[in-house]
Amino acid sequence: MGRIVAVVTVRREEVAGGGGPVFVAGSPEEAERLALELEKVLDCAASRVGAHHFVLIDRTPPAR
Amino acid sequence: MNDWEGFWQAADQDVIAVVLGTAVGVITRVLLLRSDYRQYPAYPHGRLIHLSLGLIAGALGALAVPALMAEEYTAITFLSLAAQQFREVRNMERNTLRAIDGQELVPRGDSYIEGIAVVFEGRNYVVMLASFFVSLLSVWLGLWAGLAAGATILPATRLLMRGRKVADIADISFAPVRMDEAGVYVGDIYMMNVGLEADRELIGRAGIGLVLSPKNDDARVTLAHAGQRQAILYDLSARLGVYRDEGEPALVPMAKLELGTGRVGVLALAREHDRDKVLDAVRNVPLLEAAVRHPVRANRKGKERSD
Repeated sequence: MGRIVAVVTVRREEVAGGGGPVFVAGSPEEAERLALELEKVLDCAASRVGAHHFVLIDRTPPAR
Repeated sequence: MNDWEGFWQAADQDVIAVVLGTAVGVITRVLLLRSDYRQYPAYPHGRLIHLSLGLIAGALGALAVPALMAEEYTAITFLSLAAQQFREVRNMERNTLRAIDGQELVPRGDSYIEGIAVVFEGRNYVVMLASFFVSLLSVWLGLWAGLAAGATILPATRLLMRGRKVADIADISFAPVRMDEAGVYVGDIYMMNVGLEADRELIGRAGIGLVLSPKNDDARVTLAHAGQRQAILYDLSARLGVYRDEGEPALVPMAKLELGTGRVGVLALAREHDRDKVLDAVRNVPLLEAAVRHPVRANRKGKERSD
């Protein structure tokens, strides 16, 4: 199961709840860039949910 | 030359049988030791280990016959000792491959590893049986019978150990890799959500889409096995190269099931895009023992019983 590590959004008000940090971007372009940077830094794939949010998902399989 | 003739004439029938049997055993092992670049052992030391064990297996199989002829029935216990050794081979293969698997860009997966380990154990028994039969015939009927048996057994073992392949159970066709918003599709099969435009572009460039359609209901179940699909991905990346690195989490080769029809969509991120090579790579993926099921046959029998 994937785990949400971070959220990037341009619409702060549509994201609630906790767990990971939320990064608020000023524009869709900035959100895309933020998500790209976070993807490389965290080694977690960025998925887009809805039109305005990216979630970075940790899919590391559980250790054997 | 004269010395050799003298050896064969003077030598005991048993000695000839053992030498011939062992030789056939070792040759069998060499023939079965295929190490192309997607298989283990690919390195000299791995080969050495398996050739030595092949020699031992061949010698044991060949020695058993004269020993039994001499009414030394305890010789059978040696064979069980050998079986113990070969089980150890299986453990060794499993442990090595599993240790390596963690660092593969595209892992083999446990099912594939188990399959490989079982084959490595099995090959030793084949060697032992081959040398046993050759030894038996040359003790019974003489040198020429042994040689003839060896000549027929060698190609036979290859045939026997040749497993089935993906091409036997599925029709393989190419399908375009396309993007719909954040979704990546192969043909009309949904693969995954890729959030970033940059990643989608890369996948569009390096991705090869394939659709495997199962030929019957048994094949449907086999293809659905996650281990079998991982094996397909591993072989594809081993043979075609893989466009992937650590720290690039979006670039993942994938094989997804279309639940409605049982077709499998394969997204390979390959460096080699030659269609013939790609097709050849998928066709020749071995079917894993763990994945092969025959539910149709089982159900049919069940029905007949209940009628």
